[in-house]
Amino acid sequence: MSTTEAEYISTTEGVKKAIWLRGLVNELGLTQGVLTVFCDSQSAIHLTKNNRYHDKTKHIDVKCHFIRDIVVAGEIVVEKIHTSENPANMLTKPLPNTKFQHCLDLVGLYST
Amino acid sequence: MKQPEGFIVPGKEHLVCRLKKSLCGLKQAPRQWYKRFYSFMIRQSYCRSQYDECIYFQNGSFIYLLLDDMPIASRDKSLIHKLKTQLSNEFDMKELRATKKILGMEISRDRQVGKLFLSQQKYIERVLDRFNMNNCKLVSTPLAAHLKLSSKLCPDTKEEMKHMSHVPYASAVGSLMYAMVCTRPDLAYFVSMVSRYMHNPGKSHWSAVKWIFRYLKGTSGIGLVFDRKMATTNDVAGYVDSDYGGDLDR
Repeated sequence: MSTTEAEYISTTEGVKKAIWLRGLVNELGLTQGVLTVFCDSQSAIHLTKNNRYHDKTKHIDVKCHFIRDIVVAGEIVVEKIHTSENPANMLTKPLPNTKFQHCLDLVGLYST
Repeated sequence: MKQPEGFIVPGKEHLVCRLKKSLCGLKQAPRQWYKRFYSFMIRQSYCRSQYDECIYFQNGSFIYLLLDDMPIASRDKSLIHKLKTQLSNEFDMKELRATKKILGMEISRDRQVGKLFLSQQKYIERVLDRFNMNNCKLVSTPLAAHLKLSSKLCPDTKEEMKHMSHVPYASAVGSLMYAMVCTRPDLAYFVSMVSRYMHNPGKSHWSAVKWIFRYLKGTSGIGLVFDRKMATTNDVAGYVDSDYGGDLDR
């Protein structure tokens, strides 16, 4: 297992959630266009786009490659975001206070 | 099973009673209630959401079934009123006007600036009170980098385990989890960390939980803000990240 694989799996999980949320929000009356999932790992993003067979990614579980079908169909776009602007960063490791506060601002957690 | 006292039929004591109606408190009761409510809403020509089976909707008005609480949302006040009359004709119910509090979440709104604020201040204060963390010192982040948790810190001697068995670890983590699920995504990582050791928590795991409580004490007033101005599009955006290198138990 590698960092790329870990990022790839988490992207797949994010896309799965996005598909469900799109359906729910659509039903609530806000019509959705093409959804964007932001990922801070360039290599994982390339894996979602490049549909080619490669020895170095052979071991990744086949179920994770379902994200490729979704991306090819154009339903969801995976885009790059810098780590410091990624609010999901605070969900992976303990951060220093300033970075943590920045993530809180990004997700919209404030005091009144 | 036995026949209930006073209703014993002599000579047929081996027989049991057959229920003709669902009783409150039976394990089948919630399902019966859901079926009853579902058939009622379908009769009122509401649709049930495919994605969340507790949401019913009909041209722009929504009702969310939470056991016996039902918040209604609509763009049109007359639709809300109509649904309320329909509901009160069918069920005994109490009308609570604009929602201030639901499932322990406090809702406050500022319609002029288009903001909606969700917080759990009361709930968090109650939890801190229950675990005697009311007078703790404050910290600014929910888990500092020096608290490196791993399964190596789980107790392996009988004495340590006995000591930890007096600690309400699971119930503390459960209380944190509820706050996390409702209004506090900032706790998500730390709750996931401490809940990995639920089966056999050690002293350092417990001090990590207490650290989270200290963070909560200082930030009990913060909550989720939904700002109309911040919403640039209707589209959902997702963010993903992972950390493989930092996991000590990999």
